[in-house]
Amino acid sequence: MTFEKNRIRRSLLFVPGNNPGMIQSCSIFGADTIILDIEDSVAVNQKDAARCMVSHAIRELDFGGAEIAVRINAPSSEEGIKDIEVLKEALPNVLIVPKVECSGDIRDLEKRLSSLNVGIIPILETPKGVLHGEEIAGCSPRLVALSFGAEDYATSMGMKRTREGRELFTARSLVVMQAKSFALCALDTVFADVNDEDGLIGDSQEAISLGFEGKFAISPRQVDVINGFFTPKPEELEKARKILQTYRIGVERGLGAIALNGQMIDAPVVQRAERILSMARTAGLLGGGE
Amino acid sequence: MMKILHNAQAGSLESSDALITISPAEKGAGVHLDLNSIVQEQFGEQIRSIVQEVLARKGIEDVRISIQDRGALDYSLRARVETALSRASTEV
Repeated sequence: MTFEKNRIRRSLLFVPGNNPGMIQSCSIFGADTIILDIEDSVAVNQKDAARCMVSHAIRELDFGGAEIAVRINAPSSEEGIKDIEVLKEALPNVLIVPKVECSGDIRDLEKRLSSLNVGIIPILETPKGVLHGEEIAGCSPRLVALSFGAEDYATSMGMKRTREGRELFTARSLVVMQAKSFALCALDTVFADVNDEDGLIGDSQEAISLGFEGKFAISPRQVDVINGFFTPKPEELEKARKILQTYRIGVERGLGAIALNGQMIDAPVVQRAERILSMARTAGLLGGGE
Repeated sequence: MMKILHNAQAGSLESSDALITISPAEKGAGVHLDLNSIVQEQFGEQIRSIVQEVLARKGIEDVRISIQDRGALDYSLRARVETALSRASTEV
């Protein structure tokens, strides 16, 4: 397998690595990335079984067009070292690395990966990790995204978690800024209550407004909601097309500034419109040639 | 070559999984496979073949294996047998 730096990652679905029934059916839910998990969803005395299961799943199963990622245990831990050794023989597209706190964590992992062609998505889920996000984001060409993990972060901070997640505003904003400053995709934390669809909708709206481009899911039923939010709406797509068309006309006429329905079309507006078209293209919403 | 030292298990009785139990056997006893599967009639031979393939790869000639299969696919069956063998061959 290889990794694509700029692929679309609207939804990233965690699948417990020791559950063969879930592993073999997970590709039907439409997640852009499937994360075979050997970390938190696997009991301590079943890590060996999960490693073996994930390794065979990667080598023998067809996951359709989904990107395949594995969340390993902390790379410096005894389990993490074993994870990496096993995965060298069954390489996923991407490794999801928990509790990354500094660039050294990624560099140590890279030494063990040697020349293997695999992407890395660090999860920033401690105060130290969030504060060092900029240093982490710029430390390796293998990084394809920066992600935020709220539950461990809140625990480390002694925060009381709320349904609305207002307490996470600063950390989420920092992670988005750190990712974007290195042209990386920013991925948002899970919404933990799988029975609360309205809560997931609100949380996804908040993630979009902060600049995240995708979100982790812990249940297949969250995937459609998340994909829906992170895929441009028809009206957004139409507006982006008009903005770019107007902008091109302005450029052809040599105008320094041009307006559309009273809105000034300047460089940031054009960039946002281009991004919307790019997401729509990757999501298969555009015809050939556009 | 792997050596079976003691009893060990891997897997579960959940749907799409299999529970594998490995026990040591005397040298020269060969492979004794006890298979109980919900799809024994359709896939019994295939399951036996996968177990033999894993045992051959690990160089194991004498072992007792009990499989309670709940519809495990080939990949998960291989994984469960390998895990059980690994556990049975680890010093405790």
